[in-house]
Amino acid sequence: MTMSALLCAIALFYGVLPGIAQPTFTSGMLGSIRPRAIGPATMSGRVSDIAVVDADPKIIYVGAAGGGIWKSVNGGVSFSSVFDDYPQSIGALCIDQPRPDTLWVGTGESWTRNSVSYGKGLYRTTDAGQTWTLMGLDSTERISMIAIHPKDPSTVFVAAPGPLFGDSPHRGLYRTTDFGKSWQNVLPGDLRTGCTDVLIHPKNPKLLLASMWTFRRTPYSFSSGGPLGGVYRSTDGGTTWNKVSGGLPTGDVGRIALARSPKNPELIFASVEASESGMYVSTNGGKTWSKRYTGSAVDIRPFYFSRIICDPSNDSVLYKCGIQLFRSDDQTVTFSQTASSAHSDHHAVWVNPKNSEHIIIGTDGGVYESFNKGKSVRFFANLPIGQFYHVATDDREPFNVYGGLQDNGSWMGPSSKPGGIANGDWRFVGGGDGFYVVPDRGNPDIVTWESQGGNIVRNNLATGEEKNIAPKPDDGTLKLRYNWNAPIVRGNRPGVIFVGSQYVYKSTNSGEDWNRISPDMTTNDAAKLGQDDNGGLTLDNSSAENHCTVFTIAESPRDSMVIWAGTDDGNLQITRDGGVTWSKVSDAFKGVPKGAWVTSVEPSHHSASECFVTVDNHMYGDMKPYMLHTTDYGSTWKTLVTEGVSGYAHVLRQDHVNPKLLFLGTEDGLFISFSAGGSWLHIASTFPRVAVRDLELQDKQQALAIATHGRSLYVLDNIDVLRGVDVSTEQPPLTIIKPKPFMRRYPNSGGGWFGGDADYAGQSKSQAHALWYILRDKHVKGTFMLRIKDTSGAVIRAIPASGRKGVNSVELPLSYPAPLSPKSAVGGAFGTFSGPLLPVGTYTIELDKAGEIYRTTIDVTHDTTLGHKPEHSQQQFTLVQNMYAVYEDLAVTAERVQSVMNSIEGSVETAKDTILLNDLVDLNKTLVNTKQGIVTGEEQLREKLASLYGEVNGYLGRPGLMQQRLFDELKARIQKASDRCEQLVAGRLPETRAQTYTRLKSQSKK
Amino acid sequence: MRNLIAILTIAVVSTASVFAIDLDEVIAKATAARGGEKAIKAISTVVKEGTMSMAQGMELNFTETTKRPSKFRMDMSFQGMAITQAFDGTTAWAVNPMAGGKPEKAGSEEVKKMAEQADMDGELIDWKKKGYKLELVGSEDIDGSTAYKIKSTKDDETSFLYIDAVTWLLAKIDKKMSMMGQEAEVEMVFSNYQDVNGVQMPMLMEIRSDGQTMMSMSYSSVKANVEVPDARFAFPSEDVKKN
Repeated sequence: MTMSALLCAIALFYGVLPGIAQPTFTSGMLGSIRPRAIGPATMSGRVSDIAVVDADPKIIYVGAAGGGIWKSVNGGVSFSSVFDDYPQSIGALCIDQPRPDTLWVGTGESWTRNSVSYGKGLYRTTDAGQTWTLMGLDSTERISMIAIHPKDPSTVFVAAPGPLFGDSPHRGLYRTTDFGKSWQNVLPGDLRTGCTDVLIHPKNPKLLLASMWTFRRTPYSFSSGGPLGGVYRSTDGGTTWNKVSGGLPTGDVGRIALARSPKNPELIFASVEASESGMYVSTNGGKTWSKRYTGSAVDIRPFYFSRIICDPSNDSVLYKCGIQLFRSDDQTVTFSQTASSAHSDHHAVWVNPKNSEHIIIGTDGGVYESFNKGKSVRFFANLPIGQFYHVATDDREPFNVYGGLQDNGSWMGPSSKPGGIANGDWRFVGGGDGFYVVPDRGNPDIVTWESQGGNIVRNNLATGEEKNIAPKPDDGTLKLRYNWNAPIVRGNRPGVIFVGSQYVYKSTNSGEDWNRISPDMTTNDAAKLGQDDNGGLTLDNSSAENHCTVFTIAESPRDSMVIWAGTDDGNLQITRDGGVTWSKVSDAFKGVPKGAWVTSVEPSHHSASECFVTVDNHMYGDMKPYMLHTTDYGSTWKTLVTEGVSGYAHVLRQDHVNPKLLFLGTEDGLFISFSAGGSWLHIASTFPRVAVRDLELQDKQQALAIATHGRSLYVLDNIDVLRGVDVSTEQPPLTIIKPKPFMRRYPNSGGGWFGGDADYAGQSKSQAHALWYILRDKHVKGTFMLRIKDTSGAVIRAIPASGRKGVNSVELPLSYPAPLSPKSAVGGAFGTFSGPLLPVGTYTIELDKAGEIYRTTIDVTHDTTLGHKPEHSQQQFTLVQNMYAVYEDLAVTAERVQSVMNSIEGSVETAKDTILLNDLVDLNKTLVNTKQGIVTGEEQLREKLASLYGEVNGYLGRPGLMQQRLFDELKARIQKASDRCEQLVAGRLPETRAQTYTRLKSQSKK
Repeated sequence: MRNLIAILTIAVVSTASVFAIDLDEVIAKATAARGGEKAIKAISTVVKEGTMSMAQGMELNFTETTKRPSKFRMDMSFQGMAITQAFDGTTAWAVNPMAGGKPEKAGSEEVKKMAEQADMDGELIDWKKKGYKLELVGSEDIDGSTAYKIKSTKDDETSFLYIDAVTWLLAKIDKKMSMMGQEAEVEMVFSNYQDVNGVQMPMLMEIRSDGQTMMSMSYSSVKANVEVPDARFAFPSEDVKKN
């Protein structure tokens, strides 16, 4: 069997031989094309739970509302994400404290705000977060608490409030007695009622308490409370349960938080939502209760803040989560606020069992730690778990990104910065909950942003002045209906912005004045407009349930008269005359539920009649993605395939160059189609399974900005390379993406100071100038080299190429190799680590794949942005070349001196030898440093020239006259040293200087 | 060649049911693919010469020498400097001209690292004896081909080894490494395997971080069972310092 036959066999196995199987593209084949996390961690994001190893509190797990699990092993100095491959919405964390490498994780947050994500079951790690196993309960959608049997770790109780948006039997209290192999729903509730809290008695594990909660959310309402709700008690290890009545509120109750004092296990606290909410206390393990407290600590948004935490070593002290953090020091008779300098909206508190003063708290704005019970707190500025709703970019170099976050305002920051994007690089634009933040297309200092419910503001970042520019009602209504997340969208021309309430408004002067360009675009359905009475037992009208509103607007990049507007109640309308007339095109949707949210419209950059739409029905309990495509202004729609796509759809963007290249963001992550939606690739191995809420293509820098709702912002660079991927045609074995010209410049190192390890830094764009190519098959056998040749065909550089299946990139070494350097036993020849950058010209790049040659060319050009005259750069290059030659000549001299020196050292035979040796040693001392030590201050010819070479080579403008003069002086001395060398070594060496040079050169290329 | 075909055939059969394989089988196949334990253990010394290519076109030459039992030496030359790191089985030491150029013994962290480097057989051979805990944890797509993922734990340190499901050769190791004082997740990707004394050895190793190649080591010459005196690995006493 020949080698080629063997390769065929391998290819056959991989299913990649043309005609046998269509190559399928996996995300592993995107090579180094992967979204980079740019942060920020500046404002962090919502934390739903925290778990700390009691025996070693340096080990901290943070569960994020939408950003997975972050682990620190050093007390929070640094964190790493350990749950990227699984649902990022975390409901509950529970460490098996006697076996702290075991952690149970319930996915699906239970703080059921409007924007909450969803989970897909219970996971467990037994190796401290390195590997995870799904343990079942994958239909519960949300899990709020986990309790492990104190004596038998195979018995675990899981409290699942269950699905938020629809009826479901998958809720209640689940029990396993076999490490999760099987589960029993021991306290099932009903289709609307699940379990939120569970307590197990530490000494008598037959005694359990649980709380049940009836709740439901729709796009336009939230309700909490029902007759099944309440505290339940079991005395037989959770098999049978009785509702506890003694002393607790009767009638409908809402969400209840339970806590047991670890110090005094009969002492139980319950924060109960009811017609009058209160804090209840039981001193007999939950048999009977008495009301201890009513007031703001228990009244505040029970669906969001029903969590109480006992100080393990002091049974008088209890923490209650709220907009502020409350602490009672008297068993809940009174409460006072603490941690007032932390972000508002507290969801988790850990109290150190060995030190009551030490607490760690989780809020809507990240994690804080206190060593005095919250009096003063420090912020963990290293958790990039921001929940962005939208992202926009400007045209600066590098471009900036703009976006707003859940409870964390509106911000802007650079998409890249040498040395990493630091927390301090982000600029605050405005407060509240943030959503759209858009810089003007003409002047990016003019930024329009909003807070919830349509408070629209324009900032001038240059002057700091801001103006409220929200459109005012012009039709007799007193209040416009704005979505929680109301659209602010740029038009094609500078100054043009659109906003949506139930109407579409257009401004051509950055919001100074507005024209209402549409009628009410919504169903205006009175049944969906009852927000004033929202919340159930506790009134809750924050504008989060505002409905029958315009949710998305887009102007066609091909024709500014064509505008699309989609609503949250199922309508999509188009105008082709700039808003004079509108027609409803959503009636032509097929296979899409009526009334579902139109989450994005993407008019094509290729044709005015073409448009993509995403539709989301999750708030009616349907998590499927819907994507539609029209090429006739919405008269007819084609449904895009959803195979391989999961999660409800938020946004779809079509590439501006290659119409087949699509980007899709869903609640489960990022997807790419290379075939106009014919199939989808889930970017799963290099990007977390996080909700992608918005995407924007940045044309100039060929990047995609990604807004995630839980992992802050990402940028996908090299969109131009993705344009070269075509999975539908028969691929050649190797496709080179023609490299962009290289503008002669050095990468900016950026630097940074000694900031330690605690601060987060966003990843910057690689400054490497790379050759990109696509391999049909993985390179298996033989060498694979990349060579750069000049016009004469001489090889300048040769380096190994990369042989991944799919996309490959190799950083091009666009400089000459470093010069030969004289040898010295002490110190380095700093400055000569690289050769000069290649001069302006065209070079051939050759990929040699086991003998098969593929070629392209690259242009090296003068970088005008550095401000150097081309002739000065040429002058610099010439000088560096001369220095290079002289430096190599010095290397030859040193080699000849040292080799004769070494050959006679230890074998001195004659007096003549002794004199020669002394002369050589003396000469060598002038060539290179020889003094032992670290800070010797010594500088001989090698060190002087190397340092001068480094100075001149590192700056691409005109060399200074003093630099030139110093070089002339060194050159003369080196010539003198060379003459002296030849005088001394005459007759002692078998090779000529030229031969020495050739030998050294060949040794330098192994 | 016949061996390789046999391996391929087994691969086709066994990867059809990707999880119907256990750790012992993966290790057995990986060992066989390398050339078998007998051939591996028949090699007593290896001398590798090559080039490291780094960012911005920087390159340096090196010679890596390994000898049984547990001896390792790395000599690098960079712009006129000769840098040496070595381990004689108990003592790790280095000569770094930038730190004064005197041979200096290294601390316990380096000893641990060097001992790993000095293990010619790798983690999969005699793993129990060497104190590794191995676990087959799944399979993953590595650069376009399926590989079995083995979790390896020793002294609280974890790494992941990926064995290609077709060639059964080691494709990649993921490891947390200390780089300039900061802990970073790095991937070491092995390719271009060639036969050396009946054993498959990678001629290219790429070090990647976040998918970007940070450095590659390509070997221009690999020789096995070359005579290397033990003194090459020993901490230099004054009289042999010039060595």
